[in-house]
Amino acid sequence: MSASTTPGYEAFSEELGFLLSSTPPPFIYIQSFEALRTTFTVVDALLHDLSRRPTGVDQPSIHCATVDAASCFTPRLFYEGVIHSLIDWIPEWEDGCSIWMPEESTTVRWNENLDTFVHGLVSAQAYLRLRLSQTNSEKRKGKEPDTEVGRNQNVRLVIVIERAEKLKEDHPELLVPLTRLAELARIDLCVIFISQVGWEDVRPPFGASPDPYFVDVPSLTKENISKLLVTNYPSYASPNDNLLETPYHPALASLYPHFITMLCDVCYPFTHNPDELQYIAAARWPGFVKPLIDEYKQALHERRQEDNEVDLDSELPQINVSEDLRIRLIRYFNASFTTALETLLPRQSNAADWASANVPPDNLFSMARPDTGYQQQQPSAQEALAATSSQAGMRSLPRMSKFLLIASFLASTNPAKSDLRMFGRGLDEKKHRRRGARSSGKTKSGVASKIPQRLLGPIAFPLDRILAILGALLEENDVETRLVAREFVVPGEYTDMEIGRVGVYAAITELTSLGLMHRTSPADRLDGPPMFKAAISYDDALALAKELDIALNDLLWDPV
Amino acid sequence: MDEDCNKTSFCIPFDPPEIQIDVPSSPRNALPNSPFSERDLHDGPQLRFEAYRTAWEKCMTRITGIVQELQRSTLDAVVKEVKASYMKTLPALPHPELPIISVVNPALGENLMENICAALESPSNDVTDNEILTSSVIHLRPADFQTISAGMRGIVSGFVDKDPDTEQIKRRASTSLANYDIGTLEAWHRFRSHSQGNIRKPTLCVVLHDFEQIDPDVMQNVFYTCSKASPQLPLIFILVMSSPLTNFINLAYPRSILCRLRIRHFAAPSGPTILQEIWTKTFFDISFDPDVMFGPPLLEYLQDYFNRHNASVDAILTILQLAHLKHFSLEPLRLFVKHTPANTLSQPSAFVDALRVRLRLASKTREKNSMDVDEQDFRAPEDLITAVDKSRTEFHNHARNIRIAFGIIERIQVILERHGHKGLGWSGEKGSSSAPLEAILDILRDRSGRDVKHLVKLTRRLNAHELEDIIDELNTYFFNMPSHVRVQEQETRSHLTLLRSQIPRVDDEDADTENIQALSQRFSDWFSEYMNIKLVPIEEGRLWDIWYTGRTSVVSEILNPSVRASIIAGLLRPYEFQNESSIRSSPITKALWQLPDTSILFKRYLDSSKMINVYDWFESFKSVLDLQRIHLQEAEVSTRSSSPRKKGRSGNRAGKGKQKEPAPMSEEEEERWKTFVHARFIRALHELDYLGLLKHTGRKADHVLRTVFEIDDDGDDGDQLRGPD
Repeated sequence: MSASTTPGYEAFSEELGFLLSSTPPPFIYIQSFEALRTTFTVVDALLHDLSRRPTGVDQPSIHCATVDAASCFTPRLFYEGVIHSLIDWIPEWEDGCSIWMPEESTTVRWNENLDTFVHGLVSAQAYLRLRLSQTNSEKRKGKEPDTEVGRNQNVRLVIVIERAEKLKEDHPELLVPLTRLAELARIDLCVIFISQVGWEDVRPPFGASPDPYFVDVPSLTKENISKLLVTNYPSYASPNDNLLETPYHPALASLYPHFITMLCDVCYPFTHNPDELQYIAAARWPGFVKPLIDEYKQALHERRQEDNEVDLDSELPQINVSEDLRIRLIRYFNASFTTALETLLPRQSNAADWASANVPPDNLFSMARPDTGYQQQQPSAQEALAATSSQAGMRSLPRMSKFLLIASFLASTNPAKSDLRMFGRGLDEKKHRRRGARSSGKTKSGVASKIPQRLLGPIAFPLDRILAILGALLEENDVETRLVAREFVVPGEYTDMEIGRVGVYAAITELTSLGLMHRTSPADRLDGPPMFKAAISYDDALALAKELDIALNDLLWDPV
Repeated sequence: MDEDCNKTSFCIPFDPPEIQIDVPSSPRNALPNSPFSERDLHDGPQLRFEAYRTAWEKCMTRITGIVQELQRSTLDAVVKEVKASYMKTLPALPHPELPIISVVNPALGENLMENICAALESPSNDVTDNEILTSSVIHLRPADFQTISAGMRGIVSGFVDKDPDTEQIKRRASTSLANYDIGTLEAWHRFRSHSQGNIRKPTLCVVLHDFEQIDPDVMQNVFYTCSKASPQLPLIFILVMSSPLTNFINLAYPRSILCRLRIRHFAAPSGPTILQEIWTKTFFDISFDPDVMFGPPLLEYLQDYFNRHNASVDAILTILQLAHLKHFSLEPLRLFVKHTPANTLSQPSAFVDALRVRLRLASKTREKNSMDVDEQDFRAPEDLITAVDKSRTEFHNHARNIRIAFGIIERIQVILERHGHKGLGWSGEKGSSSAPLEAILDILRDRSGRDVKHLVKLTRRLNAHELEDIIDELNTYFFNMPSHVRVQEQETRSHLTLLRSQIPRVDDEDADTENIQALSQRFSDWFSEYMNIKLVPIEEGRLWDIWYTGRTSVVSEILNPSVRASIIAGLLRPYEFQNESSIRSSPITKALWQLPDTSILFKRYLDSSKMINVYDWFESFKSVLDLQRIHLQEAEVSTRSSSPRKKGRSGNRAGKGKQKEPAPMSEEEEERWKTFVHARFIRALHELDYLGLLKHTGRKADHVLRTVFEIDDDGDDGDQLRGPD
């Protein structure tokens, strides 16, 4: 697809194309908030177009390099990425993976630091100019040689840096020189940063960089996204391919725009990223067209039975997507878009697995009431969802780890001063005196109501506190399941023994490495107890508590 | 130290005295001495070690086989997934995804991954389609991912160095791509697929062990870089996770990275079923005779440990091995577990006498019960050998009978459940997955009567279908037994076949219900009688304790000790940790002054209130040290004098009455002694602090907070101050 025809990007392509082909500013900053990858594609296509257009004396030849700042984790990778991309150099194993070397010098290593990189850029430009003049002279063979034109031919370099915000994290020292690269190299050069965040978040301090020329990508409207997705209908299948094996057969293409419109209707409010919508479309489409393919298969089967000698190529049954059929399909599949969105957007499952888990039943249209059919499949999707949800994972933890998680949640939610009141057991077995439940919303005027800790996020607690709470929980809720041990006679002695076991300390470390608890104190600090924070939600804690038969709400200082 | 007493700190270099530690030259291939060493053979530890090794190897081989069987399904699924990773991709995805296979393996151990990798690297038999068939596998661990560069270098060089076909091309560091550049791997892969033709493109598998330990910040960059190269470079990541959390990657990694990955989860079997499978197939399977049987306490402990702390095969293996070790370490007679070495019994010794006594006792008991056994005196060594061999056979028959009985109960229960009965309630909302283990526990504790009675009652009311199924199932069970067992059960088999032949044809509508009831009744009677014969407690056999651990308790403190309790016990009774022998009849009592400094300080700590005044604490410490000095001085004097006993007594009495003042010291000596005590106090204090027994709050000057309260220490310090008589 040409850059100028991408829906929603017409003005953007025109502006950028004009700038780059006339007198580009040395530094351009493109911010694309929603459709970053689409912007990459558009810029790539635009530069590709520009580099292939005819050149002349006043029309410089444009050569571009695209690097992804996120995958250049050392400056050397960045330098090599830029120059190799500029001159289309592919290192080969047979040559010992050697990098490109300018012909005039084999001693200068341009990948060492920024200074040598600038020299490398100049050499690369010279090399490109030479290559250009050679190609031109080859073209003009037979005509009068005009080497002057070739030698003085202007070569413009465009360096596109994708995900430029990563530069600030990984190589902040490169940021200022890159924005001033044209000044440093003194060649015709333009640096383009493309990023999801704004320049104000990337900008180096003290005004060290010149302000860029800003180009903002407008957010895509629903119509534009639909158009974009429709144009992305894969064209790998030819009309001669077997329809039974290719869901993207050209015969089905007429249905695709309707499918995409429906998809956008359901999903656009939740995500504006064309990639995400395309991902959902890729997962749903094979199932969506399956009833049609089934019908086609049946027709083919009948046709074959009628006449065994029929020439298959000439008399294939046709697929007619009638209005009525379309409405039936859409009614049947409408609900599944939401399920797909809920599962696929947070990547609880992948598209291929979702697609195979949500295949509609065979011969859907011959079923009695297909319109209600989708509901029957939902449990399987729910199961897949449940398998990856956090609660399902926690259920398989060892018993002691579950107790520890609840203890960590309590320690992170209750104030430390309330512990004795919440967990202490007096002689008279008094009920826990909890903070009186306040009626919501009614506070004294002028006094801000206290926000419960549950909503403020977990507080850090020391190791001995979680062990103490664990002891209280075990004493109240775990005595029956323990093995009989006659050697413990004093009340609570057994529990005291249990909470000090190596297994408990090991479980705390394991839960921390699993991300179910966070260690807030540095690992190398020996002074004082290690500090932790709970990392499970109230719902997770509640589910665990239910499993272990603990009344969680009775133990919360600020019950829900 | 003497020069300047005002210095706040001293450096005391550690200068260990040249102690010749007299290590008893015990050979490596021997168990520790038995507590009953007086009736042990002189080479008993070695012989028992040999017996232990045979028994444990047999047991471990069996368990390894069971574990491999458990692994099979996961192994096949993962291998299939790896081979198909780059074959069936969903069309029209917005961008290619990097295949990630997460293998959650909390229970089955490292072995699973080794088997998977072996299967991946072996060329597949499926040569029908010329697609990707083999895989090149590299293993990386958390230590390889300290930084992104290190991680990428590990991946790139891992594959390149592994390939034997690639000729080593000289690369100059300055003019070649960096060794962490994915471009190097791409060039290598291009070269390789070019040189080998397009027929066999091996996938590149990166196995990341202990994935949870790898820093997500580093790993997400590695994933990103690899995913950019993904479709051209057939990289597959296999994440090996040992925690049961299936969604770890979703929790720890941001969505922006998850978008680039296609994650498939595979979970190896885990949970209580593993223990059940291993236990029933090792100790309660008719086709396997373990050398040693374990009693209920071990199974109970295993169950508890498995559910509460660590549900893994490694834990089971460790506990079983320790149980084997313990079994063979205790009783000298247990060297007879597998064989009866004739030379051990040829010479008269305490060992032979002990065996003889045991055998005589056993035959006396038998004689009381039944009159048919003659009393033997087991004088000749041959008699002893025969008796031990006979006991061994008896034990194995005995254990086998119990196994057969359990097998029958299990099968009847399965058939009853299949026909919609609750049976013994093994499955259902209350019946946990460990129900068969509970049944085993009941059998071992000789409490299986209830289960048997219940089944007898149930089988009395079977219909023709159920009866037929049960008898068929039991016939198959008997038929599949090893031949030597089957021969012994010939009578039972013919009885069951006869019953089976009398059941009317099922499709016969007007089958005589009374007849069926009578048959059910007969079956039920047979079952009841058979169980009575088979379910005899193992403890009733002669010399049973050689092969069966019975109700011996498990040493749980070794496996999962309580750190705090151990520290406190160490401080309270330091001398008990000194001796090698673990079994002692009475605790060692020592006077307070005889304890090490840290223990003295700790005892005083226990006497104080919640907050301790450090000065008071020091004073009390000093008083004990003063007493210690007197005692030591006295001891010194008494060693010089002729009758140390008398002197010692008088010293004690003096201590009891009024505290005897130390011999008058010069002022200089006094000063030195003070500094000495001070240093010892500070050192002991720091040790307690380091153990986490003190808390500095800063709330009150010169005060520290206790962290240990209410220790149940039965010794009275006041008495101990006086010292032992």
